Amino acid sequence: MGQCTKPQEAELELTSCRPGKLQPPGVDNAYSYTAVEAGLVMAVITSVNEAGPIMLTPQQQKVAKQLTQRIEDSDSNSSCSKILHNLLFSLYLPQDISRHAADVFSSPVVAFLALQSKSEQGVYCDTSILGQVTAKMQTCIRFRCLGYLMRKLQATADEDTNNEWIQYVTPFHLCLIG
Amino acid sequence: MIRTTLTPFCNTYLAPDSISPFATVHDWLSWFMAAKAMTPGLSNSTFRLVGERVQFGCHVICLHRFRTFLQDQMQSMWLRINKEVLLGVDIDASGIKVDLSPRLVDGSVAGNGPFSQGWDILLDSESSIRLQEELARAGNSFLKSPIDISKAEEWLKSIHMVWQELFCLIHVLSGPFPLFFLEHLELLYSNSPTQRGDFFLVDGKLAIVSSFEGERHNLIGSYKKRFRLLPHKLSVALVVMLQLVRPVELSVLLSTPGTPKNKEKMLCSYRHTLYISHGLKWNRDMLSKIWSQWITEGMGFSLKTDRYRSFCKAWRTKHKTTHNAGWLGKMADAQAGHGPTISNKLYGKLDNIGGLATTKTLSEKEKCLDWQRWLGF
Repeated sequence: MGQCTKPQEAELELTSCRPGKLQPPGVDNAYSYTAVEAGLVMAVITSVNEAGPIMLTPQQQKVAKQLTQRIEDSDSNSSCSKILHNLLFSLYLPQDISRHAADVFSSPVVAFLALQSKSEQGVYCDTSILGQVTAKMQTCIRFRCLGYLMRKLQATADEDTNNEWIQYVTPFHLCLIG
Repeated sequence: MIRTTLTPFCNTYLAPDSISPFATVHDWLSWFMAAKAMTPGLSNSTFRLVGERVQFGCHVICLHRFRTFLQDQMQSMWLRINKEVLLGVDIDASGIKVDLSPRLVDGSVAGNGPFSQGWDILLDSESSIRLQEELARAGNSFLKSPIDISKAEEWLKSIHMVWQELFCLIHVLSGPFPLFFLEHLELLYSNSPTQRGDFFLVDGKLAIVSSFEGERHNLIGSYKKRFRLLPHKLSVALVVMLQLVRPVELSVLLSTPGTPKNKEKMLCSYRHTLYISHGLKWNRDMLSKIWSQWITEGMGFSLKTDRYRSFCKAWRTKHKTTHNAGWLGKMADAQAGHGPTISNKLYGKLDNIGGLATTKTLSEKEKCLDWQRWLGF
């Protein structure tokens, strides 16, 4: 376990997220979070099909095309969920972020946020609206990360010390997959 | 496990000082605020004035149409005043005076000299007694006992309609700085030794000098004052409604059943408040409803007050001119060897209006006149 003995401390140190503040969204407001993600996915799919303003890495393009194909081919939503998860994971946590260092807008997430910052008339939108989008986007990224951590910990759950972490991360993971 | 996998992962993707999308999203709001502050031109307004057309969103307003709409509204309001409120009584022919000239307290008319500007308007009921007599002579049953209640209600309703139109026209025509709804509601029209009203007479027109909470009000409790000038036709309409009609309206209201219990309070409200009908003061919701209905019915699209404010802001940005209305004063100041600030301090008592400095008054007056000229008034 090393120096970080408590999950809260580790989480505080690593993500600057205060323990106890991050709560899984309830059923009522979960939709408002997923709506932001849905908007992002929609923008990405449109960009792949119609060469929009969002730049994608080859990996992201591949997953986005897979998703488009799957949506067209199948009526079942469940068959899309895994690809959808892969797409969001690749958008939030790209394998290579060096490209992002040179140009922040090379990240589809940031490009999407930039588009959200403008109204249809080309002027800046209201700050109060943008605050909601950024907060939800951040929460969604955190959830994806916690989901990733959950899977990693489950894969190596041979140590007893991991149990406390798993206990902490489980509600978020359930929230993601539920 | 924590050290080998989780710590690097979180450091790469979730640490706020990293280069990950998460960190960028984290900082986005502060970047956005900075960008917004640095490009005021873009965030100014969604309205664009291109020649005779005003573009906003998916709408294009033809300026000619807007002018015609305002002219029509002014005409219809006057028609309603003459036909439904004054009930055909010809004010000029009956010798009822609508006095828009500055007067001293003792009643003698002041000269047209430099000190007469900004003299307080005296809104009294002398002329209204004549109007009441004329209305009664014309055989209006709601002024004689027994009162025809339905007729009285109808007359009061007409007055209410006129005030609705007056409010909308004041909102648009008073200048490129539209009054806030709260300002509208707090306007005082009567002057007394203890209470100063917000209406003044400038060149035969009514001027409104009202204060509102400035941007820094919460910090330092400051109020801002703004000068607005009404067109002549609108000034006359307002004086007719306040000076002539309101006292008659009060007497009719008091003689009809269903008046509020606290008559003293109601009388006080009628003596000071501009927007009041059927004994009840208007509120913000009512103003908002009246405004949206007026503009939607007249122009065919909804223009909320904040959007209308943006429209005025766009106009102000485009017509940003420096008025040299105070050139005469400046010359006098130069001759006296001091600047306008000292001049205002020294002579402010003589020709200031509502406590506003003369230079500011002149500049805002010119802006109001420009605005009204642009709208065809």
